[in-house]
Amino acid sequence: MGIPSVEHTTQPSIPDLYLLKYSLNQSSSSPISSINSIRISPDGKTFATCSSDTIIRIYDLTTGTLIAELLGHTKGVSDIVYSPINSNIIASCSDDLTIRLWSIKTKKCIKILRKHTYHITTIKFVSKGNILISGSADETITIWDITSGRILTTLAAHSDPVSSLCLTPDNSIIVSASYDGLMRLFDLETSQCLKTLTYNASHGTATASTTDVLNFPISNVEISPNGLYILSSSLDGLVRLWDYMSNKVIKTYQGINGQPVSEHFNCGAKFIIKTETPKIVSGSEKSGILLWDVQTKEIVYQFNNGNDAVLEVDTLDEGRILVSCSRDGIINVFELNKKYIKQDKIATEELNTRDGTPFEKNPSP
Amino acid sequence: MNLSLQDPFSVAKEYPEGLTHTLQYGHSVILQFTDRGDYLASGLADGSIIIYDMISSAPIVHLDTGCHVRPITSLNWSSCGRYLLSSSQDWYVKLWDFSKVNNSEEDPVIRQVKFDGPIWGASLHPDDPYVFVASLFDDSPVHVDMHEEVAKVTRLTTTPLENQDALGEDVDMDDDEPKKTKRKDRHMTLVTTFTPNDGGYIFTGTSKGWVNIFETKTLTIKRSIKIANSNIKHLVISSNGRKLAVNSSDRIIRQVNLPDLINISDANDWEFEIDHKYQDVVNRLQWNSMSYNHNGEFLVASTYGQSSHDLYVWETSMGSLIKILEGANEELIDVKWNYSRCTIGSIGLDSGAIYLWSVVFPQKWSALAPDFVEIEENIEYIEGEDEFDIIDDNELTKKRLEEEDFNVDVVNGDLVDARGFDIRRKGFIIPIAYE
Repeated sequence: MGIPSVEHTTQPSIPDLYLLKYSLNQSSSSPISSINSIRISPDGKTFATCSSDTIIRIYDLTTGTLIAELLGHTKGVSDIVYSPINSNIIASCSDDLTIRLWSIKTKKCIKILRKHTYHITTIKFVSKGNILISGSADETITIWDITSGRILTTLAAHSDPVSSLCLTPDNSIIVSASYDGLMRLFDLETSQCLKTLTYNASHGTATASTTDVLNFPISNVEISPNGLYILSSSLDGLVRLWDYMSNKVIKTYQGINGQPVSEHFNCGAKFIIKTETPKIVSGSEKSGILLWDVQTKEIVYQFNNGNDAVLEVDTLDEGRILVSCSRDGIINVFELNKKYIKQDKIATEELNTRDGTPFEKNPSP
Repeated sequence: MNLSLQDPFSVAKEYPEGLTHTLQYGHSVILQFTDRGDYLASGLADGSIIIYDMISSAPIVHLDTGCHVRPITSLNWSSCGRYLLSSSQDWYVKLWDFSKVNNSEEDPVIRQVKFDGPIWGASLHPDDPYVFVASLFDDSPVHVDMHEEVAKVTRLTTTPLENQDALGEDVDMDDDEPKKTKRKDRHMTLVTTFTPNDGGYIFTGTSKGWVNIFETKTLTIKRSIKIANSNIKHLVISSNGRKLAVNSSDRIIRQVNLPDLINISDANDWEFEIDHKYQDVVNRLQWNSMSYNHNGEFLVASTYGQSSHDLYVWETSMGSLIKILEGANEELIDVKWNYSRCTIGSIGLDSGAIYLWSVVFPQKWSALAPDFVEIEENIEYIEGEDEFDIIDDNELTKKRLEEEDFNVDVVNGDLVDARGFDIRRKGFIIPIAYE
């Protein structure tokens, strides 16, 4: 690229960590439209993408064939999420101010949830699948009871668009990220704000009300598998790992040669724990997909087959399968190279049942 | 995980303080929380059952096809949370499988047993959802094994062990009943329950104040103890198996210290000692229902009669009344303790509404602004030596990055929550009707 780097050039240390299974390129057809989000279904059979051309597309994960197109939104779709207990159900949120719930089998919209007054940027299900949480550019977070379609609460606690949401594994805390530079932790049940996290380079502290301090917008948040750390991406180009109990940044991840990861787009990030040591994967603005080692903060893997920002990544089975989608319409599906799979995985399944009865986790209808 | 960020003094509270929710969806008569406290089952007067999610406080399932047709008399969850046993005045006991609900193709009732009369109450084996004991109206209590399609019903005796030896001799241990034979025929078992954890023994309570203890393996009576002189209405064993509460119609709840039933196998070595008697000496109220908390350190009971609308909470080691929970404006019937959420649920007799009392967390205002701290009293401000030194940002960033060289464990988390409950065990997730 010709940009003089301050540090010595580092090559990704494990170039064969992931193997590309296949790649889908929408850009060959029609005008290119950005794919804003990609999600793998909980049963691992399909994945879904949503795009600025208002269409949600469902693909077979193993073959990459298009299974369904869900039509109904009138503007671009920002985010999608499968129901964690039923891979036939997917929810989507759009700039047309609606959240829609779809049945993939019948390709029909089941429910339309209206309340937000501006673009809806992000949605998440709680793990029981009965509550949906949405974040919007109208600066609010809304908690929906899906069974009745009622609004349980609206949290109005940011002063700029809400960009991303995540939940702790026990579903007790919602973490919200906003362009106002704050991350807030809310108790899902009581709707109380439990904590606010903000990063400021200088000493002293900052809230959004303090005008002389610039907080970089936070574009993405993700919780660690054990629920004790938050991974935040912000538009100063850095990805940070927070110990939210002690309000501290404990790891900072940079792009290749110290370049920013993303300064303009909300690039999703995920944890990978299928490998011997945990990894972090994130989309980036110019370098495709980047993977860091959590401890050493080194970039261990990179993949780039496009010319634009990778907006979202998703994983299946702790990172055995990795998918990505980009602003120029490219979908990539990767599989973890078998020789890097962690060997000593102890089965924890027996914890689920105590009475010796047949126990299926999520019976699929 | 929310608890570790809440006010630690509120989290440490062991019993609820205030009425927080009222759920009204049909006329409820019985309620039961899952072991993990994430779902609430409510049995209605019309024989149907509603399941609430405890976070949204909204109904997610209404079991109204193939359900009972008379009021529900008892509800029991299996420990995994997948099965529910219901008994009713319509002579039926049904076992529901929640993997088959909200799905028109399958029948969630996987087993049902019909008896010759209404059922007072059934109690599920703690380790096996296909085994239960039930007390029947005007009949002997039964042990039922439903592993096969056709249930195997075994009748249990009501006659106390001591009296069995003297059968036919017209000898009653107590002289309070003059017409012995006649009255003995009327001697009924009103309540049955398994011991928690392994379900090794069955406790039954009779209309004459006896508690009979059966061994589950052989279904033989091992021991009988006389606790009171009147009807035993309820038997509740704390989930650690240490304490037994006996509610009888003489207006007293007796608390009995249980011996170690698992390790002492000889029934003659068991000692039962009445630890405390809970009663309202002033108003002389009867108790409707009662429930222990998770470790048996607290007992809550609801009161009989239109005059009182409160729940009484006692601390069980000293036996002192520590809290009266108010807020419901009607007589309360069934009462249950939700262990992990530290919530008590009860039902209003007239309205059939479910009332929930919980611990209320105060909002910490400093949580909203990270540069504010809540302090108890004024602190004299002393400026740090380097507090306003100008440090180059680049240098500071570099220093911070260098400090990040320790290992982080992002995989292994806490095994217990802030209240000490195991959080690794995943409960069963009930399917949702999306369409």
